[in-house]
Amino acid sequence: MHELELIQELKNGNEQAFKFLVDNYQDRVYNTIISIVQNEQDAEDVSQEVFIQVYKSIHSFKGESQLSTWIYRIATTRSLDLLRSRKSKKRFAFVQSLFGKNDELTIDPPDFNHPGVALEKKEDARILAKAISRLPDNQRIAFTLNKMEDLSYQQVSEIMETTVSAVESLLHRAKQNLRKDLEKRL
Amino acid sequence: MKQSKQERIDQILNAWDGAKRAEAPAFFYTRLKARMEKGSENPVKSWLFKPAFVVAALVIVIIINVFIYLQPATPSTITSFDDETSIQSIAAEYNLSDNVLEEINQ
Repeated sequence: MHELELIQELKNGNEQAFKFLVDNYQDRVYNTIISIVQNEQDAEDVSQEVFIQVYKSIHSFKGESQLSTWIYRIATTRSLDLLRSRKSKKRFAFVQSLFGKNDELTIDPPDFNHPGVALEKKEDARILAKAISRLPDNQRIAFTLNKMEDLSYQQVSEIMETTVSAVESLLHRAKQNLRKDLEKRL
Repeated sequence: MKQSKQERIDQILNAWDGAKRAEAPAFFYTRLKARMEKGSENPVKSWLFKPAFVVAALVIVIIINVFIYLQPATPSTITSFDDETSIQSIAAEYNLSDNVLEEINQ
């Protein structure tokens, strides 16, 4: 099914078209999200929310970008929303602990192992994932889309609604920050 | 031969290279449809209904009520009373009774 035809069928509420869309994009969406949020359960929840949003807001899609760009954009935005909500929950738990209302320690999520990484690289990938989780949001998104989804700088810039040179700069800074972080911890 | 620290860092930085794309869990579409049919993206849990907001709203309403209750009688009511009496006195002064008005109309 061609993209324009697919979009039109989605706008008409065609369920088969929606299934076709999910079948074609679910791995791309899930892989992007799991690489950012670094948790399998959260990744599935957020992936579902992405497709629900696509279904509900397809009428507002004007076709100014490719459908895949739009879907990646929703996926990254939703992932960042989850990271922010995690951070605010952590802050709230910290404030509660100051007032003695929450004696439980805030537990950091367990170390993440990306399911697509080869066995001999698992340990290194785990260390890398931990370092990536400490990157600023935009560097994290640019690095993940480029490395895990193998997207070009041009595609990443369209998803992040910025310029190619800005993406180059983000990736350069991300690599520098990762290097500094690893130097401190190794 | 012992690996230098820089080589080790490079090795870690390249750990995601060549990784396969993670696949969505089995029956993803079925679970997605079930969630959509359930009716809502998230359980209906608007921020308006969060206990903190409900309590804050109640406190604000109570404070406004207490504030209004404790206010002394406002001058505006006195003014309106004054206005009414002064109109009556003017009407009396110019002898504007109902009979006079009827005569004028005839």
